[in-house]
Amino acid sequence: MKDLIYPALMVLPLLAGVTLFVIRGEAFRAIFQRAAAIIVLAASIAGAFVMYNFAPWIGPLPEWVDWLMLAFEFGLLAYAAYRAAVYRKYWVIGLIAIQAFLTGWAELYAKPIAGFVFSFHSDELSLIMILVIGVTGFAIAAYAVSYMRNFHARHPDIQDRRPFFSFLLFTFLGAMFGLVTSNSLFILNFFWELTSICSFFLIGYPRTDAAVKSAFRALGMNLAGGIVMTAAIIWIATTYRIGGLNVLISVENAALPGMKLAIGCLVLAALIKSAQFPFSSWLLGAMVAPTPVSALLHSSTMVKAGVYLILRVMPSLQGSIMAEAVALLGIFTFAMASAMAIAMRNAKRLLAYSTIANLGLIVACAGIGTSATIAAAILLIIFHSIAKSSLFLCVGSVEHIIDSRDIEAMDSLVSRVPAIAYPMVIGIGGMFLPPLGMLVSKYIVLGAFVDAHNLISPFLILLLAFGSAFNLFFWAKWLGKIISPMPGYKKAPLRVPVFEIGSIDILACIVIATTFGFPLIVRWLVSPYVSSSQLTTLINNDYWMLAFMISMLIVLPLGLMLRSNVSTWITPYLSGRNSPENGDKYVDTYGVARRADMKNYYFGAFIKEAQWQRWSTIAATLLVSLIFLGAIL
Amino acid sequence: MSGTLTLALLLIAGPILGGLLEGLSRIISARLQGRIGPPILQPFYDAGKLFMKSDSQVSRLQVVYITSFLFFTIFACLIFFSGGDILLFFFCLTLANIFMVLAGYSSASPFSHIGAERELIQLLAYEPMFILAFVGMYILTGSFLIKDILAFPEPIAWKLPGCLLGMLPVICIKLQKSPFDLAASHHPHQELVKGITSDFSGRTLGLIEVAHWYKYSYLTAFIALFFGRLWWAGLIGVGLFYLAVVFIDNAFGRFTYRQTLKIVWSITLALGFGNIFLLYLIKILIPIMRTRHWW
Repeated sequence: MKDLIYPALMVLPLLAGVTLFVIRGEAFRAIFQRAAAIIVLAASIAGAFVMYNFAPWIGPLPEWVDWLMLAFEFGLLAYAAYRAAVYRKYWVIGLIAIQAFLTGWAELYAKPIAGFVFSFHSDELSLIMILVIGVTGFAIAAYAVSYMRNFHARHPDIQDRRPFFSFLLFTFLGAMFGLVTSNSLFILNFFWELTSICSFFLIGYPRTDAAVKSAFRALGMNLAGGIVMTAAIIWIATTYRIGGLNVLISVENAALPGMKLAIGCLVLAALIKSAQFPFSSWLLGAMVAPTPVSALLHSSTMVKAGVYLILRVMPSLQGSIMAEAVALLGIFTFAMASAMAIAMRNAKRLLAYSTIANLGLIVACAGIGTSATIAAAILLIIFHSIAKSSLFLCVGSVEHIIDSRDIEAMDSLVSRVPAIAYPMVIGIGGMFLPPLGMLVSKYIVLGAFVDAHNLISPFLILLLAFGSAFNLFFWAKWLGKIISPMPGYKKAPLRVPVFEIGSIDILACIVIATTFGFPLIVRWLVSPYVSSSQLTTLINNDYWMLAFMISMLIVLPLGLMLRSNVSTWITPYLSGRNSPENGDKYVDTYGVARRADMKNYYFGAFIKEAQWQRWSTIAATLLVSLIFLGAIL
Repeated sequence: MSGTLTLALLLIAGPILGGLLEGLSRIISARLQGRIGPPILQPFYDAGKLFMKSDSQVSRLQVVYITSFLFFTIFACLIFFSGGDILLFFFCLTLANIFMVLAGYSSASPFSHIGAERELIQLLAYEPMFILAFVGMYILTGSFLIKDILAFPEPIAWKLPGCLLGMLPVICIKLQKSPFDLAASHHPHQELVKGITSDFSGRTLGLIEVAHWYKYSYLTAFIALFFGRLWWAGLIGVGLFYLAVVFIDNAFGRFTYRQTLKIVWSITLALGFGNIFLLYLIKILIPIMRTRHWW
C-alpha cells in the first residue's frame, strides 16, 4: 500500500494535467486547476509523511510501465521535433534524434546488463525536495489561473492555449516528483528528459520570436546535457553493471577506473540544468515566458533538479580535483552573477541573475561535499525556492498592475499597491536580510569553507565575501525603491483577483515560518540526512537570539507605526523650492511643481552585461575543462 | 550575575567612551588645522540640544527606521560584549545599517536619497574586508565566538597584520571620516544638508548621534580584540588607529564612490586576502614539508 505513494505522486499531477487539457469551459477549468493545485500540495505532504515513516524501496517496474514511459517520452520528443521542423531548427531535430536513439539503446541494451535495480527510493533529501516542489508548485499552479487569464487579455495577439499550458504545468510537477524519488538511473533519465521537454514547451508558450528563440536555446542546451547524461548512464550500466543511484554514489565505486569521467558527465548535465556559467544563457532567455513559468522553472523545479543531482553525486568525490573545480565554478558563478544582478533594472532579469548566483552557491557547497556544506546547501534550496517563487509571483502581479517590470517604476509600491508590496518586502528580506533564512545558510557556508582546509578555500571565501556584498547591494536598493515615497502618487486599482494575492501571501507566510521554524526542519529532515555540528551549535546557542531578532524585525516597526503621538510634519529638504501646494514636490524654473525623480545606481558604465558574460563564459569554460581534467587524472 | 552587570556597564560606558573619542578627534583635528577646537564634551552638548528640540519629521516611517537602526546597533554591541558569535554580531550590524539606508530612502528629498545609496555603496565597499577579518580570526582560533577569540593565548594581531591594517579604511568609512564620507559629510559640523541625514532633525537626529557613539564603542572593541589579553598593546593599537583616522581625515579630500570602491577593495585584496592566503599556505605547506622531507 505504502509503495503506491511514488506512482501516486507522479500520476496524480499527470492525471490532473490531462483532465485540464481535455475539459472545456473556462470557469470550470479555473476551479479544477485550483483544486488540482491543492491535490498536488496534499499529495506532496502525504507523500512526505509516508516517506518519512517508511522510506519504501521499490523494485523493478512491470514491463508495460517501462514501455508506457518510453512511449510517453517519445511522443513528447516527436512533438518537439515537429515544432522544430516548423521553425526549421534542424539542429534541434538532430539532437532529438540522438537523444531518442540513446534512450532506446539505454532501455533495450544497457538496462538488462545493469541487472536488478531499485526503481524508486526516498530519503530526507527527496522528502525535502518533494515538500518544496509541492508547496511552491501549489502556489504557482493556483496563481497561474488568474495570471494567464490576465496575460491573454493583455496580449490578444498570443494564441490562447491554456489547456496545453495547464497540462504542461502539472506534468512538470509530476516529473519533478519522479525525478527526486527515482533511484534507477534509467528512470531518473526519463524524468530528466521530461523536464527538459516540458520546459521547452512552457518557455515557447507565447510563440513570439523571442520566446521561440529562447525555447529552442533551452531545449538545445538541456538536450545536449541529456545526451551526455544518457551516454554516461549507458556506459555506467554496461561497464560497471551499475544501474542505481544508491550504488553509484558509494565512495568505492567512485574510485573505479573511469568512473569519475562518467560521473563528470552526469555533473555536466546537472550544471547545464542548474544554469551555471557558462550554461546560464538558457535561463536568462527563459524570462520571456509568462511569469508562472519563470517562477516554476527558476525557483523550485527545473534548476533545482540540477543541483539535486549534484548534491547526490558530489559527496562521493569529496576532496578530489574534480570536486574542487566544481566548487570553484559554483562560487565563481555566485560572485559573477551577483555582480551582474547589480546592473539589472528589469526585475525579472535581476531575479534570474540572483537565481543563477544562489544556485552557484549551492553547487559550491556540493563541491566541497562535507556534511556541513551539504546541510547548508539543503537549507539554501529550501529558503531560496520559497522566497524566490514568491518574488517572481509578486513581480508578475505588479507588472499587471503598474504595467512595468522596471524596478525604477516601483517607487512607493508600499503605498500604491500595499497588498503585493508587503509580501514583496518579505520575499526580498528573505533573500538577504540578516537573521532570515538565506543568511543562516550563508553563515554555515562560510564556516564550512574555512574548515575545508585546502588551497582553494581562500578563493572560495573571497568570492563568497564579495558575492554576499553584491547581493546586499542590489536587494537593498530594490527594497529602498519600494519604500521610497512618491509625491502625488495615486493608489493603483488592484487589478488582480484575491486568489492571486492569496498565493503570494501563502508563500510570504511560509518564508517567515521557515525562518522561525528552521531548527525543526533541521532536526527532522536535515540532520537525519547529514549531521552538521556547526548547524547544531548555531541552533543550540543562538536560535533564541535569531528568533528574537526576527521578532523585533516585525514587532518594532509595527509597534512604532501604531504610536499615536504625532509630531510636527515638515516637508523634505528640496533646496527651499518646495511647492506651496504639495510640499513634497519642488517648483522648477518654469514654475511647475515636479517631484524630484530619483533613480538608483546601476553601475552600467562599469558592469557591461554582454562583455562580462563573454569573459565569464571563457573563465567558466576553463573551470568546466578543469572538472573533466580532474575526472581523467 | 556579575556578567550581566559588566554587560550593562559596557553598554552604558561604551557610548560615553564613543562620545569622548568623537570629542577628542574633533580637538585633534582642530589642533592640526591651527584652531583650538571645541571642548571634549561637545558631542554630548550637541546631542543634548538635539533632544531638546521639538520633534518634527518628514515621514511617518523615518522614526521607525531610525529607532530600529539604533536598536539593532545596540543589540550588535550586546552580542559583541557578551562574547557572542562575531558573525551574528556582524549580521546584526548589517541589519542596523539597512535600516539606516531605508531611513534615507523614506524621504522625498534627493539629498537623502543619494545619501542612502552612497551609504549602500559604503556597505558594499567594506563588507568583504570585515568578513575576511572574521575568517582570519576563525582560522587562527578555530571559533567565531568572541570569548574564544579573546581567550586565544597570543594576540592574533601578530598573525593577522593584514586584516588589522585593512580595517583602517573600514573604520574611516564607518565613522564617516574623509576621504570616505560620501554618504554624510561631517565637514563642516553643521547638520542642515548632510546627505543621508538631511531630512532628520531634533530627537531623530539625536538617536543617530547616539548610534554613532555605539559605533565607536564596537569598533574600538573590535580593534582591541586583535590584541586579545595584551591590554596595553590594545590600548596603543586603538590609539594609533584613531590617530591615523584623524590624520587621514584631515589629509584627504572626499573620494568619489568609484575611488572609494577601488581603494577599499584594493586594500581588502592586498592586505585582507593576502593575509588569509598566506595563513592557508603556511597551514597547508608546513605539514607537507615536515612529512615529506623533500629538501
